[in-house]
Amino acid sequence: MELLTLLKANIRHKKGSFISIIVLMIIVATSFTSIISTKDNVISSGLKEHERLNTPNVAVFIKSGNLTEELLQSVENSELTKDTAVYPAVASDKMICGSGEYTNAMFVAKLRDDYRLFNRNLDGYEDKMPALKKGEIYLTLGIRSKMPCEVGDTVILKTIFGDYDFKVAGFIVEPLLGSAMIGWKQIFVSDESFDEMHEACKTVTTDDISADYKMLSIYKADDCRLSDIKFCRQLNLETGLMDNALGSMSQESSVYYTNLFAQTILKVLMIFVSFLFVIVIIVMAHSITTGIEMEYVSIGVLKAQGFSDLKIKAVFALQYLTAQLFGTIIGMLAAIPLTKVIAGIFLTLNAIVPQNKISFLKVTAVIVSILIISVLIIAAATSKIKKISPITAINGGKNDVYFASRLNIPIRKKGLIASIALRQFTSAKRQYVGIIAIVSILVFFMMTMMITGNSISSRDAMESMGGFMTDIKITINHDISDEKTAEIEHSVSEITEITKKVYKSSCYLSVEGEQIYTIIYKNPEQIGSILRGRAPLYENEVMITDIVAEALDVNIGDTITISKNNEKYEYLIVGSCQNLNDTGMVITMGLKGAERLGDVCFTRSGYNLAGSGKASEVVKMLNEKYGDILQASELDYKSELGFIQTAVEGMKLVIYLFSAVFSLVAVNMACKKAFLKERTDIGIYKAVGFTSGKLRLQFALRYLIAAVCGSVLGAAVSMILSGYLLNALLRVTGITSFVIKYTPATFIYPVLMICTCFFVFSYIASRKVKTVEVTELISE
Amino acid sequence: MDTILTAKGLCKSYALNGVQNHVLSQVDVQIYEGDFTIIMGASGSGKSTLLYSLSGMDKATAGKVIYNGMDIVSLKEKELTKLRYADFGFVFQQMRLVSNLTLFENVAVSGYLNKSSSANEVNKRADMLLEQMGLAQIKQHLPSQSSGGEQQRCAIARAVINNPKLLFADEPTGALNRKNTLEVLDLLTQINKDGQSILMVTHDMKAALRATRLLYLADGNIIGDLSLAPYESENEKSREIQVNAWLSSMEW
Repeated sequence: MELLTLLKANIRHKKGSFISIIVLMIIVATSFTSIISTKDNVISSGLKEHERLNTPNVAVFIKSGNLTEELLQSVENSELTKDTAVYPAVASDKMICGSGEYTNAMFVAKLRDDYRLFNRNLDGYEDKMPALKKGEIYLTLGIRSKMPCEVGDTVILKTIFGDYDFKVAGFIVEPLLGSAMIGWKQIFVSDESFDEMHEACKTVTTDDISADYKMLSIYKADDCRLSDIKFCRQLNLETGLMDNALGSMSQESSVYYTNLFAQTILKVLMIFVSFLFVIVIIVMAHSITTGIEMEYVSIGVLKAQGFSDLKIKAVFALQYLTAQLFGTIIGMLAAIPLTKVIAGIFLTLNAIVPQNKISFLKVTAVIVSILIISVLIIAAATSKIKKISPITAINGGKNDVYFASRLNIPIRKKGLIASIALRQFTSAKRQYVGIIAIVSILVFFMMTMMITGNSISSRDAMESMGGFMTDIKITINHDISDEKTAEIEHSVSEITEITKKVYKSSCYLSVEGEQIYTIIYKNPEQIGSILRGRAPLYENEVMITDIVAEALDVNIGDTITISKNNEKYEYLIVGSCQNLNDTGMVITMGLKGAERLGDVCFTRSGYNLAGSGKASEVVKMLNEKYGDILQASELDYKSELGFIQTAVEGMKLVIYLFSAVFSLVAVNMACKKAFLKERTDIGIYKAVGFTSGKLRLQFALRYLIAAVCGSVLGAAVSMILSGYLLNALLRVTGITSFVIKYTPATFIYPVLMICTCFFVFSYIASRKVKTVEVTELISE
Repeated sequence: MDTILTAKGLCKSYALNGVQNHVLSQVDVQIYEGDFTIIMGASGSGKSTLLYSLSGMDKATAGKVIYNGMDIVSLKEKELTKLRYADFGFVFQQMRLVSNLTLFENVAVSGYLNKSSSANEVNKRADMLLEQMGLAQIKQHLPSQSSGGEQQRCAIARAVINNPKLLFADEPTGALNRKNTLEVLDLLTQINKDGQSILMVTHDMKAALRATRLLYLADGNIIGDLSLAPYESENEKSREIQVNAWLSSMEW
């Protein structure tokens, strides 16, 4: 009962600290709950959709002519295979809607009844999916995220046998290729439209060129314990299926790629929120220790009355744990709607409506851990109580906390307020350690996000990550002759000189039995993202990424077997480069190397121009003069990274916002304690002629000094650790070598933001200075 | 002698649990230039309240306090702060030095506020005052490293750094031992002889002997006013008898 009475009195007396801890815990608990739940929800909703649609373990896209009866039989007869299903498909490589376009392999297929249709608001599903009429098409949200289009819009589907107009009838859930993170797509038309296209595509089919494809769905045998990827590789070794295919997608890979982006973002946010919890701990420990100093006499009185150390500690512990518990409960409740909002952000990316469940068990485990850590911290912070003796406490309490400091700078008339602020800071350094630690954590994260933004948004950085960076980018519709290529180059030269020409192509090749995205350069010495070794200049040479090296357990100097359509050769790995396609699962080779496996058609080219201001004129000329065989566009390197760029910007915003809120609460708490502690000094300053305004400025200036110190520390930590953190986090997106790029803005923005927050918030928090009256100094 | 401060109909009331408590009621008093005026009275008679109201540290409920032609009761905070560093000096019972400033800085910081003096002039005057107060050797000490007497002498130096027209002192010897009390009283007597007007509150008989004018406060009003010759240590005995007799007549 006595504990309860003291607890109630303490909470009443320290409402500010109590509310501040609740606010901080609401933020931390809301964030933890929604991040953990969203992580689980995005994965489980995808898996459920795969289960509902009975998605195959592997879907292989293969030219109809290559899928011979013999090959199909060998696949079906394999002990690894349980079942197969073959679906006809027509290939397209471009879709246009208004000014937007989607350029990647798309497989047009007949609509199956079991797919689900998004509702108009794209936040749920329709009960029934209407059958498609001729001329209508169902797309996936992954396409919409890169080529803006709405229901009712007309899209033009480009194929080697002609262009087809379709009206968008809706967006469906296709869990295998539907995500914006996966380039290849399945799109669905009516049986009538499909049959018409299929017949037309057969008319232009030759041995080399074909749009007539099959999607072969393969299901693993029940006793097959191999992962989907290993199953795929093993099946290829047995049957040669993948060597003859355009590419494949396993269910495991699909789940990985679909969730990659969401998982990476949520992982970064999880780390950030964990550090926010560290801030809560710092704030709490600071609040407890200063609280003990301020209540030195009261604690002595309680001891004199017979309260044990343990009981007094228990009052402190209960007070802060009650605040944490309140904050946690409110936070968990607030996370329910927030989880839905966050899930909505990932919906357009994952192209599946995520579940809206709270991962109660996981969240509870985290919350319990938080409370256990808090109890330990409270126990450590309240250890001082043991040292308080009733006699010394009651006989005037503790001495002033100020000490002579070697850092003292003389008080000067010029800059009087600043010099007094500096004195306040240096003579009570311990009081500001917590604030400095908090600022350094916030600045570290803000700088890390700035570095991420800088390092992926410059043209050089993009090139170092394997981006295709030329002033003009050209997509070539069909194979064109060397004469035509020369003619195009000549036309460009008439406007401005071409300083660099890049021609490249891409396809999937079977590397050691695994389908890997391959980029072929006409001039491999132009590869701008070499990390180690050299470019593959000779016909038996290849370059790999670190991700491929890890997956295949190979390195520079090793040989790998690459095959395509029954052609199989060994290649020497001569270098390592970086590329973000297929999250880094990429090999690169020169024209000579690729020609061993078959003819190469360069589908993309690019020019650097002497007069970069002429780029738009060149683009206009190319599209007008050669519009039937190519599409030209100016380089927009910022849009190249698309979602990663958006994600980094989004995370930057979240981190800046949270930093501001945490600054506000931390400053408010620290200021209140400092104000109570320095009330007499404030009265003295007023008595000798200082205005409230000057005293408030002095108050705010010392928090600014603390913020500057914290910023310097945070910046130093960032310079040491940001690289490691980013390399670890971005590796999953295919970025293995991260060039840290510092600009003045890297430092200025976070430091300016945090220092402004601390200065302004502490100035606002010091408004109580006005209430101090000189008469408080009167001793009766 | 010229009047330096005039109070007319000065009232000060506090509301305590809904009941008005009148501490000062219609006080009329004039303080003269060059005087060492001491206000005496029984405990709770409102001495400190009167001192704080006259010095502008506290706002009177009603009435006027005229200084230099202006009513300081109606001054705004900015004008009051200027008055505090430029015209008035104040010494508290509990010294009230800023704990993280050295003795020198405690004295100089008030001087720095005064725009009419340069930093160099303030530093020189602070050094001179600390020398005069016998604190030159320990001027870089923090208050916590100094004795009560040293702190109070430092507080006096701080109060006079800007050559105030009037120095207010609220029981400046109240927290000191006998030796330190004498040191502080000697100091105040000396600076009064040098021309400094002082208005002090005390209930210490020894301190009261230093006055050139004694005021007695009872029931929120001044009921006694005694003028004395300047203090000399040789005539202390006869002065004590005179003051004692006067205080007895006030029912002290």
